[in-house]
Order: sequence, then structure tokens, then C-alpha cells
Amino acid sequence: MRFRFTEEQQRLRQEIDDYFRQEISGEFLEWLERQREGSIFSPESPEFTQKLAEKGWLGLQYSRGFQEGSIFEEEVGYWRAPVAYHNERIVGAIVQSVGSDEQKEYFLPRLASGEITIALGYTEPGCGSDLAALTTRAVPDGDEYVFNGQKTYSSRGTSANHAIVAARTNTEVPKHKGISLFLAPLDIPGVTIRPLPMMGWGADMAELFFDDVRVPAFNLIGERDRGWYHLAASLDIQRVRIGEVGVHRRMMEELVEFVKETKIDGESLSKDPFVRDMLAQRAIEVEVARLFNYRSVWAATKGPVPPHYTSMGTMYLRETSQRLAQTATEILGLYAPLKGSSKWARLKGSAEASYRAAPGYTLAGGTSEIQRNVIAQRGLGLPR
Amino acid sequence: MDLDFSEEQVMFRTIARDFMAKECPTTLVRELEESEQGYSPELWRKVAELGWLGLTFPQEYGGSEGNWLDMAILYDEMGRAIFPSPHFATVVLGAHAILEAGSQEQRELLPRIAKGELLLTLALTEPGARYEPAAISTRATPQGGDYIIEGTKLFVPNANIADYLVCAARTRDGADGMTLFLVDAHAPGIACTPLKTISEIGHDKQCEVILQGVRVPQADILGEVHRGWAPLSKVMDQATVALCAEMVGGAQAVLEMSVEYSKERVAFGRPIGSFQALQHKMANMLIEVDGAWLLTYQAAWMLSEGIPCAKEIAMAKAWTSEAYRRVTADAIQIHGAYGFCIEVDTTLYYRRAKAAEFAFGDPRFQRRMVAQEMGL
Repeated sequence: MRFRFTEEQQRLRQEIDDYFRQEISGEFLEWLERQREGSIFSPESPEFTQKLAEKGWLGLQYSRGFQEGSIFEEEVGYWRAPVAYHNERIVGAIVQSVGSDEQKEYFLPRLASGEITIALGYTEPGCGSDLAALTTRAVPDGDEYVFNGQKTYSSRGTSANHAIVAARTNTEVPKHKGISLFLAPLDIPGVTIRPLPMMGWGADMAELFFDDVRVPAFNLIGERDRGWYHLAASLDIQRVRIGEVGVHRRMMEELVEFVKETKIDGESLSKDPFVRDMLAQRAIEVEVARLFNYRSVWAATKGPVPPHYTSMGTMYLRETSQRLAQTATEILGLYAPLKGSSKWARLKGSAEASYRAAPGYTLAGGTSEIQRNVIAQRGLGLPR
Repeated sequence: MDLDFSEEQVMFRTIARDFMAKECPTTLVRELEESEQGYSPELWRKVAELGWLGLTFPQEYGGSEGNWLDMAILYDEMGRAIFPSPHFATVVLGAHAILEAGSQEQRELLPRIAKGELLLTLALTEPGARYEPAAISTRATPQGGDYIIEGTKLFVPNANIADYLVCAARTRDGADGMTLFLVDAHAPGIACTPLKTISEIGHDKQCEVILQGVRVPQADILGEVHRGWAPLSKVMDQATVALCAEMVGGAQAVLEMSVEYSKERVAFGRPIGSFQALQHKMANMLIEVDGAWLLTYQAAWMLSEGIPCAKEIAMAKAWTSEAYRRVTADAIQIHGAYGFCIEVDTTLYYRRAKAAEFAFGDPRFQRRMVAQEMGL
């Protein structure tokens, strides 16, 4: 048993940490903060992504392992680094586990170099949590597939150049058994992208429309009609939310600094027993969320991750996010609703931004209700 | 990051679990709770033979040099079975106070403790009811080469059966004025009265201990005069981790009971475990239990490795206390009126959880510690 990383892993974390501290500063940081205005998410900077790719960090999970990839992702979250990473990690893991050698050779280096960026094309207007009900069709035609249908709530739909698309390839079988996964380029004829901005989540969410879109058969990832099962395996990894663990660590630190510096009637806000109790409670919750997620990372290095591990990690982390956002607003009081652009804003408006974004946390990647079903049925073996 | 137990640890856990299942049915737990002594000397001998009293002692004192992770595993299993014994008071509190602060001569008691011949406890808390130096007002005054101890200790676990008390007394005012004494529990001037409480299982059995003109020779000071709080803090940290592990085992047990029950109990033509209202309740219980497990074993691992872990211990106790309390209450709700019957085990765990919540710092106290460690 060991609740810490190896010395080598800690050195890696230090190296990444030092790099971000140095690079995300000065004018670049100011630019980032202006870009982020109104959103909790950082924009992507292709130039910055390129630098990280050159350091080999975007490919850490292939070159060193899942734990190392997670360490990098946590630091990206902590420093709010403007880099596309989480979706690329998920898709990289799918390609690595079920892709052909040619696909690995083609996609993995491009994912690691930042050349290919990924939008998620899973759910559809009629699906929501019932993902297997999807109706987007992919019909084989020669060495291509012809796509027709619509995807929605596609994260990074407006900015990525590829999408991982779940499409129906067989209508003659039960719904779970006729789905395939494609890694499709988005800059091809017949693809229409309509931005679908979400409250506090910036403008990169989108609807994707496919109208007789022709995708090479090469881009079918894994076995045809087995996509649901590939997807289910990847969802387990998708729900390892290490980046968000870093985001929380940072937010806790900023709140602690804020209450130490803020004086009310000459007395530091950090002396207020209510504030202390509330922040200590949030810190405990963030620690549990961190442990849940690193438990999944650890499990992933040994084999398939038990689905309820990642459901617990995501759900508990996201519900903690909502409480943390609420706590931040309670601490700021009347200042809380001020947007970051106001000269009166505290904490650069992050309380306002995260509170506005908070409802989405327990929807994206599986609602809390679905996660609790998974925990109860797969984790505890309760009957359906 | 590696959350697996070693092969030896898995084996140790299996042995402990099998022993508890065989030797400690809850009928015995109920019987012993009603008894004056509160434990079974016969079981105590068996536990000594298994080497679990000297688990963490150095070899030279009859121990097997286990670490706090091993201790956590044992407490996890004792908590699961609600094993009623003076192990916590004797080993974790008493013996480890001697290990932390005792002289070579005082340590000679350890082999006898390991053999099960001596029972100890820690007489720390008082009517002030807090685990802080300011709440200790029992005084020890030098007189001729001895000390005279005067004061009232309250909530002292298993004092009614103890041979020795490790007694914290004030030798001067201020935070650093605390001295630890090894006191013969049957010395003249000591009056011990068991308290009636919500749970009197094992170390939940508490006493009032009044010390009036109790004469203690200077040789029985544990550690340095005025400097008792430092070793005491270490003992309290270790005790808190053991207590957390015991709660984790209990919480895990009631969750398993709830899951099993809800799979079998049929209402409206379906097992009640198929209802989403109950599934989500049990999903929340698993979050509580696994969170407690991770925080507790993290703290135990850090203690074992000698890594400073005041914050992690406080986090573990704050979370685990609340988790155990909520999980035992939920378990009764899931079992319905059946789970509320005194003869059903859910009520044993429910009562125990409330006792454990306040022992060695309640959640509010622990969050104060966390806030302090966060630099607030």
C-alpha cells in the first residue's frame, strides 16, 4: 500500500509544475484571463499546446503510463493551462485498446502532438442519458461510411478538428448491439456545426449535423457494431476526472488566501469560525474526491476499472464542485455576483463564473442520477 | 499510488475476520455489554495468544513489530464484528503511552501487557469534556519525593477493569504544564464508577474516576515533568486512526447488511433493493464508506511511514465519524421497523456510532484542526 507517487513521478510533477508556473504568467496570463472572462474553462492555445507536445507531455499516458498522464492532467487543471487534453486522452485510450496497428500508428502520435483535437459526438436530442437510443446512421458504401444524423451537447464541438462519433451501423439487432465508433474529421463536406453555448461553460459546446457525410472506413475504431462496448469501457476512463481535481485544489488555495487577506471590522475573515468550518469541510470533500479519482487511476493501471469507481469519482467530485461554488459565493457575499470584468470583482469573478457553471457539472458525462444507478447496481449488486 | 494490501496483510485480515466470525457472535456482544466487566477473559487470552496485544510492540517486549497499517486492519475487523474488548484502552492508549514516553523500566510492563496479564487505560478527559490541555484541571503536586494527584477524570474507557491508569495531570499552569503518571488503578484515594451511556460495548464502557490525595512516586512519572502533552498527542493521533478503522469496519458491515436485506425483502412484488429511492440511498452509503476507508488507510499508511499527517488524521476522523453515524441511521431506515428492534444488529452499530463520534474529537473539533493545518 502506498498513498503517494513514486519519487520519479513526483519529479515529473515538479517539472510540469515549474514549467507552468514560469510559462503561465505575465502578459500570457493576462491574455488568458481576458479570454476566459465569463467561463471557468480556459480557451485552447494551439501554440501553447504545441510546446507541451514538444515536451512529450501530451503523450505521457502512452510513453510512461496512466498514472503519469493523470499527473499531467491534474497540473493542467491546477494551472488552468490553455491546452486541449481530456478528450484526447479518452480517445487515445480507446484507440490504444481497440484500434488496429495502422490506426495506432496514425492517430496516437497526432493526438500526442496536438495535431488532432477531439469533440465528443455521443449523445443526441432524443437520447440524454439513454445513449444507446441514438439514431445517427453510418451506412457502408465502398470503403467509406455515409453518415446522416445529429449529435448534440458535443463538448469542444466548435473548436476541435475531429469528433469521436457513435453511430448506428446495424438496425436489425437490439439497440446496444448495432453501434460503431468512428474517429471522424469535422472539416469535411456535409458537416454543419452549430454552437450551443451552455451557461458558464463558454461557447465550445455544439450541435453537429451530418448530411451525407462520407467518412473513410479506416476511421472506424474497433469492431463494427461493438461500439457500445468500446464506449462503455472508455466511459470508465472518461470519468476519471483528474484535471478537475487540480481545478479544485487551486480554488481551495485561492479561497484560503482570500479569507486570510480579507478583513472585516479589522478582523481577518479567516478567524470567523463559520468560515473556517465551511472551508475545512470543503477541503475534506476535495480530498475524498481526489482519493476516489486516484483510486480509479490506480485501478486503471491494473486492468479494467470497476465502473462504480469512476461513477463515484465523477459524481462526488462534481457535487463537491457545486458545494465549493456555493461556498465561494457565501464567502464573497454581495461581491459574489460581480463578473470578473468589474473593477470591484473579487477573486477575478471566479465565484460568479463557477456558480453559473455549476449545474452542468452533475449533467455532463452522466448525470448524478445515472452515476448513482451505476454505483448501486454495479458496485453493490442491487437488482435492476 | 498502490492501494493493495500486501500478501501478509491480506492473510492477517483473513485470520482476523475468521476469528471474529467464529468467536464473537453478536449474542456474545450483547451478553458482554450487560456484564460488569464488559469483556471475556477467555477471548482476551486467545487474542493475546494470536499476538494481537503486542502487535505493534518491539520484539524485545514480546511484540511482533507491526505498524499502524496492521493495527488499522485489525481494528477494521474488530469494528466489523463489534468485538468487545479492552484492546483500545490497554494497547492503543495505555501501552502506546508507555512506548512513547516510558523509561526502560516502565517498558518492562509491555511483555505482560502483550501476554494479556495487565489491563491499562488512559485517564485524560475531565468534566471539561475536550481533548485539549485547557480542559485538564486535575493537579499533581510534589510532596516529599512523591506527587499527590487530585481531580476528576470523566469518560475514561474501561477504567473499572484496569490495573493501571495513564493519568494526565497538571503540574503547572499553561499548555506545557501537563505530566503523565502511571498510576496503580487500585491505589488508595481512587474511586471508579462506571457511567451509563448509549453504548457500553467494549471500550465504549466509560467511567468516572475520582482521584483524592492519590500518592504516586516520582519514579512513576511517564516521560518528562510538564512535557506530557507531546507524547500524549502522538498517542491521541494513533488512537484516532485506530478508532477510524474500527468505524470503517462497522460502517462496511451495516452497508453489507442493508444490501443483503434489500435484495431479499420483497414488497409490492419486488425486492426493495430494486427501488431507485433505496438504490440511491445505498449509493450514498458507499460514498460515505469508501471515503472513510480511503481517508483512514491514507492516515494509517502515513503514520506507518512516519510522514507528518495531522491534517489527514483530522480529515479522516471528521469524515468517518459522520459517515458511520449516517450509514448506521440509513441502515435502520432500509431495514424498516425490523431494523429498529433491539434484537437486530443494526441497533448495536447505531449506538456505537454515536459513542465513536465524540471520542477523540468530534467532527467540529476535527474540522478546527483541519482549518488550522490549512493555514487559516
